[in-house]
Amino acid sequence: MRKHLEKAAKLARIALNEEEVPAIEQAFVGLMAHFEHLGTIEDLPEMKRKAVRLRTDETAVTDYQPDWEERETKDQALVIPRVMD
Amino acid sequence: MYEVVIGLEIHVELKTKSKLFCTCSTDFGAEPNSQVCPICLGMPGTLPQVNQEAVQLAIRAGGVFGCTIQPLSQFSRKNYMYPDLPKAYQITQYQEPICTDGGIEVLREGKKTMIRLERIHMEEDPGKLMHPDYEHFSLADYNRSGIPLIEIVTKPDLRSPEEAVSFLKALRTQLEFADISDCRMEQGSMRCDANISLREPGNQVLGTKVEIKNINSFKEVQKALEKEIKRQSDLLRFGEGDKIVQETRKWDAGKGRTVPMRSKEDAEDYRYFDDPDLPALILTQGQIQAAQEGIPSETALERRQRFMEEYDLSESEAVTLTEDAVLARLMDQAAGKASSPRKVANWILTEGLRLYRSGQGFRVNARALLALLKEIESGALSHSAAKQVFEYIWEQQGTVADAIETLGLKQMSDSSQLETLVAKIVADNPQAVAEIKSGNGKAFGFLMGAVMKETKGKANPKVAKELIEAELKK
Amino acid sequence: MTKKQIIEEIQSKDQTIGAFLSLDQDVREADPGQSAGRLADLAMAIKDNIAVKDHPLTCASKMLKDHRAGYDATVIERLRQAGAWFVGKTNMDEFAMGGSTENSAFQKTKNPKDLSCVPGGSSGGSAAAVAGGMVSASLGSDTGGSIRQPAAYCGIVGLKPTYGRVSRYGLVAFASSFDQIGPMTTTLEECESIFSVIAGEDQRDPTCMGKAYSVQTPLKDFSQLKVGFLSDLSGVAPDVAKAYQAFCQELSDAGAKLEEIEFVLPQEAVSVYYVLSSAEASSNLGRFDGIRYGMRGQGETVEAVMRDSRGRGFGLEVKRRVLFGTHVLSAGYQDQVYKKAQRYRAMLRAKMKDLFAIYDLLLMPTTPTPAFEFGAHNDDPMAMYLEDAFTVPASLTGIPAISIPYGKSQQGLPIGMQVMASHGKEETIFSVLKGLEEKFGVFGRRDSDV
Repeated sequence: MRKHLEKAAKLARIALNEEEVPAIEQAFVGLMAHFEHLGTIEDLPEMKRKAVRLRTDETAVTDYQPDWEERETKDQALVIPRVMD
Repeated sequence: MYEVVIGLEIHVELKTKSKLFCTCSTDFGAEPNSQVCPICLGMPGTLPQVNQEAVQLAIRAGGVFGCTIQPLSQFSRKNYMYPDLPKAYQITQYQEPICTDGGIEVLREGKKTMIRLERIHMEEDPGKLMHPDYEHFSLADYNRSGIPLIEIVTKPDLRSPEEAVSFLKALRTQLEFADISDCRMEQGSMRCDANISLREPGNQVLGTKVEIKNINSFKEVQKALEKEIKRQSDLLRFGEGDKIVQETRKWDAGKGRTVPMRSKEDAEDYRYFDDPDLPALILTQGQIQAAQEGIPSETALERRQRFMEEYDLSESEAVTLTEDAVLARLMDQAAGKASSPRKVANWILTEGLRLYRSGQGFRVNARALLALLKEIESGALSHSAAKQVFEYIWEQQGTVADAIETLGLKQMSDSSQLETLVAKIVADNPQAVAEIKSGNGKAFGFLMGAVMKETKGKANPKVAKELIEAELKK
Repeated sequence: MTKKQIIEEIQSKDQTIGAFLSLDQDVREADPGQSAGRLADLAMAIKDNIAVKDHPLTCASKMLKDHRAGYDATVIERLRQAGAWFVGKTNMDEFAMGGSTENSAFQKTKNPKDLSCVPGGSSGGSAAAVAGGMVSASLGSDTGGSIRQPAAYCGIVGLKPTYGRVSRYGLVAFASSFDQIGPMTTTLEECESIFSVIAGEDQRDPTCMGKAYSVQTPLKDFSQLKVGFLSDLSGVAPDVAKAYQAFCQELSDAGAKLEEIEFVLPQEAVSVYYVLSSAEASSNLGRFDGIRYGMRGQGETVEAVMRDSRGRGFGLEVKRRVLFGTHVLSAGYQDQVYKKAQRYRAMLRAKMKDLFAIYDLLLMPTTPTPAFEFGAHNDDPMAMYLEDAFTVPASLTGIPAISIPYGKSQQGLPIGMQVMASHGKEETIFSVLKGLEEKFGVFGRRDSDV
């Protein structure tokens, strides 16, 4: 269970502190029971699919300004922490 | 020595006015973060709205390459966290793409060979990140976030770097012809990743696949693949084949080789699932047909061959004229109505190409070109005068008649006027006359030159020649 | 009273309750035309996961502590047009994950009917604002019961509309295929009125079904009405069971034909709900990384900053669901657990459709017990999840479901009854319930309720 949790934390980019882990693990175990339960179901019907509506290709004129909430910008590009390639 | 197996993944920006899921403009070159809205910034609570034109262009692309258009396809979420991806998922089509199968023909050792496509699917572009040198920060511009793309995936049917480039050129031409995309690799509207593996000839099993990214031009496609082939075949030759691992390598144009990308401890797991915000994309036959109206009825290869046959062009001339949709269209429009397609081709290939290289589009249209040729044929314009007119129209636009008028280039064919002039020049140049009479043909050229100079190039050379000869006889 | 006075009064009442995360202290007074709309001058409280332009949108999370909405949700636009105005944003379980509002990162909301008890969740603040007499109407959101359960616990009316009948544009997504915005009100009449304003077409929400709603006339002749009710009330508290029996009797007295059904949906329904909603939530909450907005963590690289933002910005329950959801999806597309759960859901929908081929309405208690005390479920998160069994069927199948106040427990806590109709048939719910009100009195104002 711990391994699953750690892998999920890595993918979800969430830093876990040790104190939280037992509580999360406990709920995980309970929720996994749901998960396993589902595995025994066979012979399920296909789903009916609705159709998505499409939008006309036109640009809308707005005065929307992104609110970076006091983050720095350089020539309107957003400054973000260094990205390792 | 080894058989090379190449597959390509090409991302092409669709030529729409607005983005795939919102009404922001797709214009290139705007100020950073000036073409954004809550939707393409992934602000909490926003939802995507599918752009109809993007769907139509994807259907068109499928039609152009002979794909099966799926009447039902589905947008899915590709989940990963990266600062250029505002929602932390890219909306794409994973299990049910809009187009499957299809292909593009290339010539392999003179024979037509079909390079099969795996699929074409729709997806949105992430934003753009920049990493200024020597800085401890990066920069994000979300103008590109949400721009509609199609991803074209080939089967591993290509067998050489040159072939890969031919394939890409054919792909680009057809996409341009069908008005699906501008396909400018330099502007980023067309991007290409390559997958390559080597194997012993005759071996059915594919070798270890290496993915190459960061290729920014057709030339680089060839170079990168050649370098990678060398790297892998060297390793194989020296018995170090196990050093070839399945990985993604980055093409470093500066260093002229591929380098491993930073390896992540765990491969990213994209956790694809159908996007619950978007019901299925369901298309009727009517919609599919409507979207495919007016797509080119011939493949790039067929067009090349037709140009060679119909217009009497050499292969390289046909290649040059058909690789570029603008030139090909112009050729077809003009050559159909011209007395000599050959002449049309000449103009496009010489004067036309010279000016076209400056990169502002081809600025003389079929009508102007035909009018120009008519003036030349009727004798109203000399060739050098015609060149002036061509350039003038290229710069200023307008009609041929206006250009001739403005430049004062109406060729002098009126014999009487010319006669007087010729007489004068002959009279003024007794030395030249003497030389001609003593057999020196060159001096004739001198007299011709003088006439042309006097008339500022407007004299009809044929008429001038006749008049000079007649005068000399006197 | 001026708007400012109204807000001051609310602020004073809210001292003991804690329903509001923010109040609009800078409210603009006169708004010409406001008195003319269908909801003339109606003061409303809005759950803090619904976007009101330039106002806080915190979702009761540290992650969005200082975040403000840059645009209006569609429902807000529609309400404004109808004349309503908004007094403030209400408390909730963080990112709508929870059943008591105890998961709010900021404050506790108390049940106005009993301050030692929870108001329910996740729309606990919206329920308490109405139950505490601060406003007569609020907006909440319902994913697995988050409007109906707090409505029941606080003794008010709460409607979860048919999935797709109200636009989700502007609702911070928790589980996209379940979320719905709905009204929470003192009276049934006001609930219907607000629903008629917010329901309808919206191009900005592709899952919107585009069906408008008109106010219904109360049903007079109940003889053609067929109603299903539960035969098995195991797990239901005695007071709730008694109230339920009385409610069923009321329908019968009005002339409807009542028939016993074994259960609405099999128990697996709760499993399907948790698998699907957690999976969708894990994807929907990926955008909260602190890079563009919200709490930005510390770190030298962007990866480190994202991890820290989410590590410190998300509370425990959110982490649980996101991690579980991530795991469910990463079990491999090959396993198709998510797809299997979806197909199971399709089967449940079909079962529900079969039921409504026979019955016009289904009746259930909204919750097995009345409101519980603070901290009662701290040691057992699973118990909280299992309580959803009563509300989850409507969420899974997309059908409309309303909770109305019906009686009190021996301790004086409100009890709620749930009425469900077929997909898109809110009309039946309101015409029937208004018919009952005409015959037997307004729900929540009867002697048995006070």
